[in-house]
Amino acid sequence: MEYIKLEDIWKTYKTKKVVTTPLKGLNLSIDKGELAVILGPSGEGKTTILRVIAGLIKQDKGHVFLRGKNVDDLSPKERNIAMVFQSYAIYPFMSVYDNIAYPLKISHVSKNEIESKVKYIADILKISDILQKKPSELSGGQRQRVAIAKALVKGADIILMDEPMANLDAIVRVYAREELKELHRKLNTTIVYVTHDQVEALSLATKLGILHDGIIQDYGDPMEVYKNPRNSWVASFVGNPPMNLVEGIVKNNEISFIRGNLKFGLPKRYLNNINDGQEVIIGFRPEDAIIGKGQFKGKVSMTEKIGAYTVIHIDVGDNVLLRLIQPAFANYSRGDEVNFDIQEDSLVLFDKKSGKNLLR
Amino acid sequence: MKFRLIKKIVRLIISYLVLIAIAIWSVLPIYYIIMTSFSKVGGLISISIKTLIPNHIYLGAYKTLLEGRFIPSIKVPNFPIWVLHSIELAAATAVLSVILAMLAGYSLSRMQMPAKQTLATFIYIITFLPMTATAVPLYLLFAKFHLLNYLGLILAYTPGTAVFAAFLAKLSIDSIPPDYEEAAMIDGLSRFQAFLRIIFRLALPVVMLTALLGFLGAYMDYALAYAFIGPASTKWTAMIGLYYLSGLFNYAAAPAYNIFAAGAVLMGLPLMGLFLVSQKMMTKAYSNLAGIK
Repeated sequence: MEYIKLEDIWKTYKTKKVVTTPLKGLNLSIDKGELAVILGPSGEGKTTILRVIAGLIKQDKGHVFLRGKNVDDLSPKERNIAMVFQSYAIYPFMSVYDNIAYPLKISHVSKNEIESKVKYIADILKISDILQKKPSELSGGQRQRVAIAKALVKGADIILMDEPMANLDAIVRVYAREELKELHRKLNTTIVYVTHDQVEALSLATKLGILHDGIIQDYGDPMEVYKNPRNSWVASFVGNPPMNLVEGIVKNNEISFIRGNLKFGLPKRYLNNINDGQEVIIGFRPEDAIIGKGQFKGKVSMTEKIGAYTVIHIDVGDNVLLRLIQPAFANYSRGDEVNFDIQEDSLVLFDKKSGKNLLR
Repeated sequence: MKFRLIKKIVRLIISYLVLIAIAIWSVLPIYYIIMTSFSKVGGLISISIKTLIPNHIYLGAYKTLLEGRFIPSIKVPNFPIWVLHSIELAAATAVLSVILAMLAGYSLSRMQMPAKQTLATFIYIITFLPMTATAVPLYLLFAKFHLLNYLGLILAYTPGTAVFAAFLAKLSIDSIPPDYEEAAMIDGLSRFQAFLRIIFRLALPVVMLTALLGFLGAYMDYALAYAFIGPASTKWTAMIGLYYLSGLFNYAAAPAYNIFAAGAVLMGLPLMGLFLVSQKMMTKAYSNLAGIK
């Protein structure tokens, strides 16, 4: 069931000099119980999406549906959602306990009930021992927990999260991620989470959405988005290093690079979706190459040693550079001639003009 | 080594001398007023070192002020009731100033409107004009509207503070991240409730500063009060009353400076209380506006 649905959302911001339109006819529907992560470059309107869902700003055009109902004219209060802000927005003048209890206090819940609810949530998030502290005495990780506790305490079944881990350091972030996943499994709420961090997005999401140019470019299972992106922009954005994208042309059931001297047999699954002579963009993931043997040859132009793996840049002629990943420490240096192969079933072909995945 | 030590000592001596001089410079007038209020002499005391150290303390001036009934139509001791009038006026001005300043500051900071920057600059420039200059046009205007009373005075005092305070409020609200209000709105407040409960609380130092400035402006005013309610002695404020009692009101009388000084001390007491209570907040307000946290 579609629990959150955005239909043709447009939003334009006007300041004195600049007019920006972060959302240009955005469509998105999220099922109940998903942890949907929206991934996109900075400044492309991720936060705007959340604010539109929350009702903090009104879209210029389009409709928002929550739980199957149109909520365009409802205030944030009436939409019954919770939100975790990037800055956490914990009131500095209240204790942690009062902060968490605030949404309940506003809706005139009895004191006993507030206490039991706050204690229950604090227990889940392991912050029972800091309830009497002031926010200024807390560490970044604790603040984040308080912000999440505040979002959970209302019992809203839709929670919006605006990069809640952006202010945490790397190690705490890994734990926080795991805990959030665990929490989501336990409570089974619908969460919309926006971030610009790829690793976070891929590891957290049960559904991953890619935002670019004001619309959702791709939405689905994170590994599906990773392996079989809907268009070449998504392919170039997701993954680090991203997918190799090379222009090619199809002839006689063979694909050849337009520049650089490489040829593949056309994978069978594409036979019905492609015309002879069609120009395509060939994509494959850097980790889907085998280095050291194979039909292709190239010259190493650069190696990046990351530690767990090494990225090797290979020049296959005519200034076409491919990035390939070799596990662990590869012993190649600049100028070496290398043989390599590309696993055929990992190839993804995009139409050159539209950039669309030819199979999706 | 020795030379350095001497240099350090000389530097210390010079700094302390300067500090002491400035301290005497600023404290002496207040000390002089307090001493005068305890003296017996009604006229101008000649200033000499001798008079600065009193031989005996005389409380006659205070007694006159606290118990004296000079205007027959007022049935209670006059001066205390006038002080009470002043406090009422000042408190009302403070409250109204806070409301106006915060509303204006909030809209200038948060709302989208045409010519916002121009408006903010205009408000800032207006604060440079002396309020006393408006006494005559205000008198003429308010006379037409039958507002030459307390209500009129409050309405006349308020902009004197509120305009400047609106600018302060804008600066202060600018520094509060909008996330707080948005979080409050999601928690279940309306925008106005979020303004009242969250923004007011977060901007409390500036709210207090505004209240204090508003109170002070109204409490200390003589010119407007004299113009508006000068003829009605039952309605006088402490300032007018003090001028009258010390004989400054009437040029023919001999000025009673000890009464004037005692009145000044008495009037200062509520202010001192206010300052002591709000001192912590004030420090916060100033450092907040200066961008130090």
